[in-house]
This record gives sequence, structure tokens and C-alpha cells, in this order.
Amino acid sequence: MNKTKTFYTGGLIALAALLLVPQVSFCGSNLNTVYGSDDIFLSAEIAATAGTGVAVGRGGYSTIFNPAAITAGEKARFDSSVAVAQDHEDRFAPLFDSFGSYVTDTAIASNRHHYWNGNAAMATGITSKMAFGASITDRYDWSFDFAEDMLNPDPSGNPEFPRDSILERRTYSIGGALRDLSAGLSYELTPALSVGAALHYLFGTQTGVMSSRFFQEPANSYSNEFDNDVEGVSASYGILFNANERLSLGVSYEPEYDVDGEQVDYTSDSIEVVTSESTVTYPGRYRAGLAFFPRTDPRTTFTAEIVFTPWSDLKDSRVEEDQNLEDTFDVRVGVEHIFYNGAPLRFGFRHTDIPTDNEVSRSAFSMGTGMEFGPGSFSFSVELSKMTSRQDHIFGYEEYDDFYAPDDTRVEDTRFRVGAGYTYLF
Amino acid sequence: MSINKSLIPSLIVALLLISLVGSAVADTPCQPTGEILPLADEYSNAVLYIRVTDKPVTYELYGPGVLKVEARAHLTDGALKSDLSIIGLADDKIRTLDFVPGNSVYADERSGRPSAPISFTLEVPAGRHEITISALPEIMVLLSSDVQYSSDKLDLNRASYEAVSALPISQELATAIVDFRTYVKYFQNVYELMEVPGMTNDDLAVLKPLVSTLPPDALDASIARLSASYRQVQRYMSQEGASEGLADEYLDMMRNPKNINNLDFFDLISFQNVSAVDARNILNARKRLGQFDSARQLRRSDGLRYWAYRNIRDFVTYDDAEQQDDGQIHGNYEVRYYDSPYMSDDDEISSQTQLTAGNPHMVHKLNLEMGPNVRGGLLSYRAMGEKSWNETQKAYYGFNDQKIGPLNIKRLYMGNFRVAFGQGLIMDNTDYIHFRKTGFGWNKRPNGVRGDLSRSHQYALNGVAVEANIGRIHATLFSSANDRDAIMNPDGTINRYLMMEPRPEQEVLDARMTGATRDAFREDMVGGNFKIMLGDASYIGLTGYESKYNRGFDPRVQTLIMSDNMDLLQARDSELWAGYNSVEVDPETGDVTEHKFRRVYGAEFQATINNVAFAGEYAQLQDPKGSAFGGINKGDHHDAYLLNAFAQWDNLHLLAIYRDYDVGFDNPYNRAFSNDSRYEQTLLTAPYRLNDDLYSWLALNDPTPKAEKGIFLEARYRVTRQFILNGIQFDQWKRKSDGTDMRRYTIKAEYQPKFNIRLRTRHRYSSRSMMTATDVRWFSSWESRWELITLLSNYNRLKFMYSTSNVMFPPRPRLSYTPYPGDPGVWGDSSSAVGTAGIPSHAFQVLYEHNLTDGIKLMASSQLYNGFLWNFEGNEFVMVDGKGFRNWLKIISRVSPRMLMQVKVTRDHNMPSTYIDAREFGDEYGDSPESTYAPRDFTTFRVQMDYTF
Repeated sequence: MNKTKTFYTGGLIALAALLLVPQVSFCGSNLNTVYGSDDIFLSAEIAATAGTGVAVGRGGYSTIFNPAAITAGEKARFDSSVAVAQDHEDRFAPLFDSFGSYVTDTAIASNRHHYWNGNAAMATGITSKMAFGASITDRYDWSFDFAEDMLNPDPSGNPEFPRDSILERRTYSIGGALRDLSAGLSYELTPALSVGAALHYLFGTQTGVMSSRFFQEPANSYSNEFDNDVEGVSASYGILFNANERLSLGVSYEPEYDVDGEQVDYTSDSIEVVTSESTVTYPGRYRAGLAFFPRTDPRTTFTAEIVFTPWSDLKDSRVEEDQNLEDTFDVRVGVEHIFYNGAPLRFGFRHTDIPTDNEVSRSAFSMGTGMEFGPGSFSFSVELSKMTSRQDHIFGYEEYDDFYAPDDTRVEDTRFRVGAGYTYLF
Repeated sequence: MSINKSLIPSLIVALLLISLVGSAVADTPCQPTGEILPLADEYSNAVLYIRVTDKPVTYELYGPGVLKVEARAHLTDGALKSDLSIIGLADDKIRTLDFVPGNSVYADERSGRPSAPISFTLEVPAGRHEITISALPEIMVLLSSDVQYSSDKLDLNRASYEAVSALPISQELATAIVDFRTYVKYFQNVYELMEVPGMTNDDLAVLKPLVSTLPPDALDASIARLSASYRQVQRYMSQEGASEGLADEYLDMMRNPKNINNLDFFDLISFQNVSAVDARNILNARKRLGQFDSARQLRRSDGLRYWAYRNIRDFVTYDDAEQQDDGQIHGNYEVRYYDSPYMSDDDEISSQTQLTAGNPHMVHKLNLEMGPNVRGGLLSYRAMGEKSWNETQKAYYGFNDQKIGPLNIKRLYMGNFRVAFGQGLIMDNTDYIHFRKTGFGWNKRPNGVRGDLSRSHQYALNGVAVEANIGRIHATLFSSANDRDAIMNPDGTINRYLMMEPRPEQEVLDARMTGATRDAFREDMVGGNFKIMLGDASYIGLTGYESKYNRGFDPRVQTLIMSDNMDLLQARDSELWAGYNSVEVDPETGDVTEHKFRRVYGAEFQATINNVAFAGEYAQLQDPKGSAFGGINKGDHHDAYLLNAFAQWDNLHLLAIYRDYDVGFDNPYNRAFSNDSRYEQTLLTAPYRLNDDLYSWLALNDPTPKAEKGIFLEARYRVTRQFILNGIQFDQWKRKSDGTDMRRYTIKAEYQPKFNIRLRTRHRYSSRSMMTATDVRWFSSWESRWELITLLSNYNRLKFMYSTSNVMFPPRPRLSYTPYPGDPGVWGDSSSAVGTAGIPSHAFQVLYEHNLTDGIKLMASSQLYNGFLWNFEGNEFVMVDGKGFRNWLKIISRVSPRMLMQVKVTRDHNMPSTYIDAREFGDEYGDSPESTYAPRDFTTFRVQMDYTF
């Protein structure tokens, strides 16, 4: 297959993937529902090595990390991945015994939801020095689901609503993701130095529901919902420097960009519909990292990188006051061993700051493996991540006099995500 | 086919196989001499086999050429490591390119299986030469083949990509060859080309006459040494707490070993498992021989135990020329991250508080060697829950082993340093208590001066310290200035030191209206130690220090305990009153005088008689209201002393320690042997009785020993090859604050019916106040633990563990509660007629360790527990309580010879075990707990990366 034909084939597959890939994304924490979480799944290979990729080639996904790393002069490749995540959020409050001593933290709300996601990418060499890549991925997740039931604590109340009957069912759900359709070019200036650039078309629909169903007084039930269609365009630039046969260094930069939204708010009975427009200026992003190729048996690649995102630069036309977002660092470390039979063992660790609370961070452990199959290979990954924060209550408990609640709650977010992907080499 | 068993002289004698798979000669095969033996079947393609008993084997070599040697050890039962060394090159023109003398090899832990190889290369000039090879296992076999070497072939280990591409093979194969060489390994011989993806027999036949595989440039000797012993290195890198300082030094010495002929008594006893008797025997052997020329000579020192030898050999050389000085800066950089409390063993138990929620632990540590004798280092540390990544910062710079005339400056450090003397009664400045730290075996105290890159902050010293000797006189002097955290009294005097971990921000402490204060006072210290050697292994010495403060100390208890609870104080709490008091109130005038200093001084000794070593230390805390020595003037001095004796035989050692510490001996730098810390078992363990619950940190974190008087006996006895009593401990003592009797007895045993099956058991019994009939707080507890370990091939291990224990105490019905249905009742009315009299626990664990390759290990564990359980998870000591299911996975990857990465993830699912009214959460006085679901699932991470350069 010649390169032109390969290119078109890859492009067609990528287009098909764009149409087929579901626009469902992963749940983040309640801390990420407004501007989204960047704990996104790209591919099983990348996820297993903690999401590193700025200094090592990742096929078409390099349009996200560093467009200069789209490898020139090589055969075309197509990647597709799917993943399923189980997100578990527990909200705790301290419990004291009759002596007034702290006993333990007890869960006052426990939510478990499952999500799935799919991505695709392709890359191909155009000339011996130039390569093209494209991908369709998530950029930021908004999704979050929360539900709790308020039970009647009164043992001597209305027989129609005895003790432990449901008084109120509360639901809060944010859905959707800012998707990213990217296309990029890399050019090899010298064997040691490549540059690249990529364009990103960002789109998606953020949906939200906040509802409450009262069982004793159904007339008080409500449901407020919104849909926010957003789109924007950004560009990113990168440099890949192969310092020697053992070490590659990569940097990339994406300036801040605008995402315009058209939001429709309505209540469940559609009595009132309000349409508004907004512009969110997302912060730029700086990535720097290295890939180290030691001489070891089995063959090993060590990757490490830092992503800096100046969230304090974020602007939102809907919000006038300062949101006090904190700039974040995201540290990722990954290792890949390739055994004699081509089977990989990958693992990684990632530590991410959260922009909405500078005392909160997410830690994630990942590992994965794979197998060669046909003209390509399968990859598999598992990730386990954890985040602990203190948050305000989503609904509050003020209207229930019998309930005593502290002002905030300790929230544990745990995510277990399994991914699988196939890489096809033309 | 097997080797004649009668040739194996002892348990640890091994069989070494050295295969000369390269070539040294042009057209002339090697000519080994010695007895020829057959080799195991799997190596039947070998040509010649040589056995060496206690005599080395000599080869005749005809150069020019390069000799590639590959050595493998065959070990018998019980031995894990073997030494290999070249003890002589008859012709000094032969150059060793990459051999590390005294190197060790690990064997597969099954008899008859070969070890991983050690490869080294010799460059042989033209003409006839001789090489002599020996190995400490007294039998070895040599195998040689005579692959020819010709210099006009293309060297695949150095050839450029273009040159390889020019060979008559495909471009893909040329690329694969260069990739393999670049990213996987150098070629040892042309047949290894078959490991290259895509290589066929036909390709090899084409390449064989065209290419050669010369040895690559030598790996840095220090890296090679660390790499060869990386399992041991990994253990050192994992050590934290009270052992951290020594671990850094062991790593340093492993990278850059010292010439054993230059080590003195104190250097020798600083090695783990080296006793004073061992040190004396080494010194005697060295005196007799003039000097040690080889590990073989060291091993044969009269009276030197094998375990002592094993713990020295990796850290020493036998010739100054072997010590590395390439003019480069070497070192090690380490990052650790973990979000669960960390302890390295069961003797360093501490507790977690609510303040630890938040940021994870983070350690960055950089050790630097600038030449053989110049050292430096940097450390940043954030304890779990602290805000700043560099809450604790440390740095030091200094040098070792400088001679100025008769003066030998052993160490001189500026910046942060550690200093410890004698039995630790007077000075050992770590933040961490190590219960039952004997100073023997694996529990060595870092006596003398060390650079300090441990995580300690409260008792860290910062200034300058020097350790030197002139002949038989050894001296250490130090000076330090630091701010210390403390509990302050309302009048501004100091109540006592407070070890805070995590250290809250001062704003947090201010908001609590507490006396707990960061950097509450300044401490300027000077101190030192003098010793006079009375023999090779006997000395007497004096130690002392003085701290000057900017305020006086007044340990008034009212600052700590809520006024309503003062009547709960009992005799066991006398340690609270007996804190250091330097505020003097004139009973007549009421004038207050603050004595702003503390002085502690004392004496020590060490002696050896035959196979027994004796040591002891006496220390006195000066009453600040009196003069330096009590009894002359007014004053109430408090003292402490400790005596120990250690007797050793080849398979047995006995240790006895007697200690007696005054309750008033309140020396913040005391880290001597004890079973408990100073404020344990006092009212400070009840945070709700205190004016600030942070004061309970005194009971949790204070690293000074409790005042105890009693005897501790320990023995280790290797009864037979299969049965070992790993540790018998008997400890019976009196808590001096109230005279309570305390006991703790432990026995550990291991039985190996076959080499690859090990049964281990550990049983402990302890009690308090069993002899005091009127004490309602007596308790006794026992714990039994059984382990079955099967050693599989390639170091893989499968372990099963069952643990059970019970804590028994008198039932106290008032603490039990039985609510009437529908009526929460009133205290007293609803009390149970019976009370809990015991807390039993059970746990079961399965652990599997799998070595994917020499450098990649996976560990996975599952355990069910019901009750309290402690356990080791890799190098990490973990405690759990409740009822749960705990699983963890650890990956240890030696990314490269210079880099090690470890990642561990743990998931602990704690089963709902209490009934809590979740609808009244936070209600401090809620009653009738009756909820059904209180999940406590924890996920924790631990990451460590080490890079050596």
C-alpha cells in the first residue's frame, strides 16, 4: 500500500470513528462539573503509562500531547479505544459517641455510577520528514451524578410515612464532555529536532438536572434542567528534541482559547425557557517531559512529564466575581517494558492538583498489558484513582430540623477504570 | 549427571561455574589447569570443567585478545549469595575492563540451579600471560570455548547504523540490530543475534564471518556494584525512621567501599550484625596478617561469625587502589510519595490523627559524593497533611577521613547532622522512637557524626560537628542552633517539647487557642564525647551536652489537663509532673528565677573478654537549681543507666540488657532501650481530657523512653540446619512511675523441612499489672502468627499467613450499654450486667511474589482480617483494625541499572462493623446508634523512584 492510499484509508477510518464514537464521557468529581475534569481516557496504552506522551510518539493522539511527536517516515497507524469506569463518591461526616469523643467518619451519601467512553486516532507519514495525525477525544469532562434519599427519622409520626420512609429523593446530574477533534502536522527539521502544530475543534453539549421529589408534598417537587451547546477552536504547538539515543525531550504549548456556549434553561414542565449565551476562556496549557530509553532487557521506556495549567487565567462571561481558581501542576510518570515476545507491561502514577481547591489533589495508579494480534496489537489498561476533599453539601439539610449536619463534608472520590484498544498498522 | 556431593564441604559451600564464552586469544585456545569435572546436563554443550577447592585456578593466556568471562554460582541449601573474586593477575599487563572485585552473585534458591551470571572482561596483550581466579565457595567449575576474535570484523557493539546497514541484510533487520543494541543490551557473542526480532538462521550464517562482538565500555564501577546487589540496595532505599541515617551511609559505602585495612573499631561495629567481639577478631586478624588482601582472608579471621562477614563484605575493599575517584560527582536522587502513614517496622509504631488528612507525604532527597571523601546532601520533606512541599528542609556538606599529622578527622559536617553516643541515653537526635533498640544485630545506633538527610525536624541539629582521633583518643564535638516546637504555658514559660507531625500552620494553632506552638523557643547546643581506647575493643568515655534556651521550663500539668479532669491523675501520670523544671520560685519572696539551660552528662564503657562483649552507659540530668554534680550543693539530680552483655558463638548469641531510668530523667535526646515511650499509658492518651487534644501528640509521638527498670534477654540459636530459633526475647520490667509490673515474651522460630518450604511462627505474650491485685487496669495479650512460605523458581514466592491474637482485661460493665427498645434509657439504667473481657482477632493472608525478569517484580497480596493486625507489606509496616478485606499490588521495576521505580496501590475495604445513626451525624450527644451502613473503603498509593549517578 503506498503512502497516499494509506493516508486516505486512515482518514476515512478516522472519519468513520468520528461518527461512531459515542459522545459519552466519564464522571468527574463535583469539583469539576463547571469547567470539566481533564482526567480523561485517550487510549489503553496511554492510560496505562499514566497519560504520558509529550516526549514519545503516541500516533494520532500526539495531536493532544505534542504534535511534534507524530512520527514522520513511518507507516500509517490507526488507534481506537474504549473504556468503562466505575466512579464512587462517598460523603462522610464525623460521628461522636455519647462521651462527645470522635468515633469515626460515617457515610451520609454514597453514589456509584458507571460510564463509558470511546476515542480514535490515526497518523501517517506524508513525506520522509512530514507526518499527519488526527484524533477524536475528550478534552474536559463535566459529568457528575449524585442522588440521595431523605428518610423520615421520626418514630412517632404519620402512619402513612412511618419511620425510615422516603421523604425526599434528590438528584443532581451534570453530563457531557467537551470533545476535541484534532488534526496536526509534524516536521522533522533535523534527525534530532522536530516541530509540530495542531488545530483543535472543540464541541459538545453540557447537560444538567437538579431535581427533588417530595413524597409527602408532591406539589413541592421540582426539576430544573439545562442544555449548553458549546464550541470553540484552539491550536497547539510542540517541539520534540532527541537529545541522544537514550533521551528525548518534548515541550508543547496551547494558548488560551474561547469556548462559546448557547444555554437553554428550563424546568421540567417547560413553563419557562430561558436562553443565554456565554463565553468561557479556557486557560492555556504547558507540557514538558522526557522519555528515557535505557539499555535494559526487557526493552524499557520511562516517561515523565509535567503539565501546567494556569487556571487562574480562566474567564467566564457568566461570572463577574473572581472564582479563585488555582493554577495546577499535573505530574505523570510511566514505565513500559516490552518482553521478548512483544508483550508489554506498563504501569504509571499520576498526581494532579484540582483548580477549585488547592488542598485537593487526585492520585492515580495505572497498569496495563497487551498482545499482538493480526497486523496490530491490543492494549488493555486499568486505573485506580483517589481524591479526598472537603465540600459543601449539594442540597443542604437546613429544612430538616431533626437533622444535625456540619457545614461541609469529607468527600472521597474513587475511580476504577478499565480500558481496551486496538492499534492497526497499515 | 551431578557433582559428587562429598565434595561439598559445608552448608554454604557453593559450586561456581565460569564459562569462558568469548575469546582471549588469536588462534590459541585458553589452557586451564586443574581437576576436570562433568557439568550439569543443561550445560552439556560446554567443553571443559574445572573444580577449585581451596586453591585458585590459573589460566595461561596467549594474547592479544579480549577474554570474556561469565560466572555463575551453584549454591547449596541455605545459601543465597556467593562471592567471586580475581585474587591475582600474574601479569599486570592484563587489564580488567569492567570487573568489580569482591562482587557477589545471587543464586536461584534451589540447590543445583545456577545463579544469574556475572560477566567481566579482560584485555590480554600480546604474549603469554597468567590469570588466577578464585571464588569463596570452595568449589568451582570452569568451562571454556575458543571462539576466535579478529579485529577486521565489524564490531556490532560499536558500529554505526550506516555500517550495520551496509551488511548484506535487510534494512529492517539492520534497524532491529541497532535497536536491540541500543535499547536492550550489548551482544555478548554473535549467537545472541538470534534474540533480535526478525533474525533467521540464514541471516546469522551470513553475518557470522563478518561481525564481532567486542565488550562494550565498562559500566561505572559504583553503578555496577549497586546493580549487582540491587536487592540489598532496594532494602536500604526503603528504610526510614530511626534507621534512615545508617541506610544512607550503607548505600554510600556500597557505591564507594572503604578499604578494610583503614577501618578502626568504631567503623567496624557500625556495620549491622558486627559485634564488638567480631570487630576485635577482625582487628586481631589484620594485625597478624599485616593487612587483608582478599575477602577470603577476611572470612578466615578467627572467631568472625559468618553473619558478621556477610554484612561487611559488600562495603569494603582490600586495596586503596580499588577505591574510586574519577573526579566526577556521584550520588543518588530519590523521590517518595505516599498517602498513608508509613512505618518501617513494628518497633516504630506511631499513630495517625485527623490532621493527617490532606496532602500526601513527599520526600525529595539528593545525596552527593564529590570525590572519595567529600559528601553533601539536600532534603525536602512534607509530612502527610502539611501544606508546603518543603515544610522540612535539610542540607549538609562536609568531608571524611582527612589526616593532619597525627590528627585523623574522620568526619566534619556543616549544616544538618546526626549525632549519637554510647547506648543513646544522652544523645541520639532522631525524631522517631525505635522500641527495644538494642544497638545490636540489625538495630545499630549510628554512633558518632553523620550527615543528616532523615525526615526529622524537631530534634534535628544544625551547625557544625566533627569526629576525630589522635591515636587512642577519640573525640566528637558539635554545636547547633535550632528553633523547637513546644507546648507553652500561659505565662510564656516552656511546658515541654512537642513533636508535631504533621506540623500545623501557626494560624491553625492560633485558632485553637492552644499552647502548642511552632518554633516556640530557641535551643543553642554544644556537646561532645571523648573516648580513650584501653585495648583494641575496649574503651571508656565521657559524654555531655548543654542546651541554652530563651525561656525556662515549667512542666505544670494544669496547662495540659482540663481542670475538671485533674482528679483523674494517678501515680502512672507522675511523668507529667516529673518533666524538666528550671523555674525556681522563692517560697518566701515569691520571686521567680528562670534557669534557661539543660545539662546532661555521663560516662560509658566497652570491653570484650573472649567471646563476650560488655558495655554500659550512665547519664545524669543536672538539676538546674543545683550545681553540676549532685550531692555537693542543693539540687535533685536524676539519672539513668544501662548495662549490656553480648555473648556469641557460631550458631548462637545471647544478649542481656539491664536498664534503670529515673522518672525525672527528662532528656529530650534520650533514645535508649525501652519498651514504651515516655507519655504512653498516661492521661495524655485521652484527648478529651486535655485542654487541647493536640497535646495527645505527647503520648503518640514523643520519642523519649519511658522510665523503666528491668532486664531484657534475647537469644538467636540455629539449632540445626533445618530449625532456627530466630529470636527468643524475655523482658520483664517495672514501670517506674507507679511500680506497675510489665512483661513481654516473644519467640520466633523457622523450620525448613526442605529448602524451598519454610514454616515460620511467632508467638508473643505481654501483660501489665498482673501481679497487682488491686489494679483494675491489668491486661494481658497474646498473639500467634504462622507462615508457610514456598520458594518457587526464579525467586518467586508464595506465602500463606494466619494470625490470631487476644487482648484480655477485666470486664467493666459501665462501659457496656444495652438500650431498651424504644427507650434510649439513662446511663446506669441501661447498663449491661456484663462487660467485654477480651478483644480477639484473626487474619489470613496470601502473598505472591513473581519476578518477571531480574529487574521486574510483581507482588500481590490479599488478606481478610477481623480485629487488630500488623503486617509487613514489602518493606512497609502496616496496622489495620476492624473487619475488612485488604488487597495490594506492588510493582518494582529496575528501569535501568541506574534507576529503580516502585509503585504500590492498596485497597482496603473495611466492612461495616458498627451501628451508627447516620441521620444524626455530627451530633456530639446523639444516642441510640442504630444505622446500618458506614463504609470505610480506603485506597492508598506509594511511589518511590531512585536515580543513581
